Amino acid sequence: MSTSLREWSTYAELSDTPLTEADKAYFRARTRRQIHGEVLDRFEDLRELGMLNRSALARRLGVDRSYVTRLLASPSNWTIDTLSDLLLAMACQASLRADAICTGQSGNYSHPWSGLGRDNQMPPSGAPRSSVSTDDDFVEVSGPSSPAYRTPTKTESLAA
Amino acid sequence: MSIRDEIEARVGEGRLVEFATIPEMSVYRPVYLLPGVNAEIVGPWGDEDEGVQMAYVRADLENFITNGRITTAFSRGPRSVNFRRLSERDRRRPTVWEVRTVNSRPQYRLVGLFAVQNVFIGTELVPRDDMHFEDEQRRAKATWANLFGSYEPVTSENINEYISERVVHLR
Repeated sequence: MSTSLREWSTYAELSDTPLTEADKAYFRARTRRQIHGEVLDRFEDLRELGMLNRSALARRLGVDRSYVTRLLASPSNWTIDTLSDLLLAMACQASLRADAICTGQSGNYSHPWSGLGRDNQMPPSGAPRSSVSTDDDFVEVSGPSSPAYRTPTKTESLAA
Repeated sequence: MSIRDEIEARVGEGRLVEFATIPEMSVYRPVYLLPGVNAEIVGPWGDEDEGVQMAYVRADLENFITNGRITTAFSRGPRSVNFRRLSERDRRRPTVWEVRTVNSRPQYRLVGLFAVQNVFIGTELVPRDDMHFEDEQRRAKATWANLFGSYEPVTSENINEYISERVVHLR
């Protein structure tokens, strides 16, 4: 049996084709990363303002600081309850929005070192690059928003 | 030639492949992989279990490429960070990193080095249980030397020399 992720555009279709476990795993991981990023953004906003650090977050949650470090490091063991608790401890709440998977244009920034040698590239292994794109972030966090891209600034360290 | 020229030449020769997101997204942190590593992640895969594992690896790489928040550590203390430096014992050596995919079973590690700030060269994909840290570092550095000769990867005690922004560095 040979398998790969399907063409992106098919994810936007309500077809009868069953989702594969790989399809589901990929979107679960994206969702998890999205939520983790939102929580970290909020935490960093508060930390930079001097309003919260890991120790204070641990006290508010009633857990060890090391446990908070693990929570912030990765969302691998998060449940919806974990998310809710973290947000509440940061004086936030989640608001959920489900967006249709989009096949339109998005994401037009390209790092100057992206695409090097592409014109002279030998045929790569694997699937071709898709020309369609999406904007499927669906978890918003109330509070200060974080820009999608900021110019390089400084070390954001959790040394607190 | 610059290291940029070297990467361009290696891609032209088919010895490196830029990892492509699906769908095409903004690229803030390009990732170049050995062709075999890229093929392993992209598929096609031999069975569905492998597909599930590589789906998690792909999602983690795409998060990095598209400027997602990244957690990092220089030491093995903080658990579960996205990027962890392997060569903590001798900081004079070229710095080898592991990109940690912790949701897949088994977990996977993409081993590699930063060519310059925000540009990662992945040399090997290894199941976590098969990782032998010294061996992985030795192989990664040998692969680097084979690709780029005397050009040095980023080696620094400042995390922002590796990743410019949207990084939470845990100590």
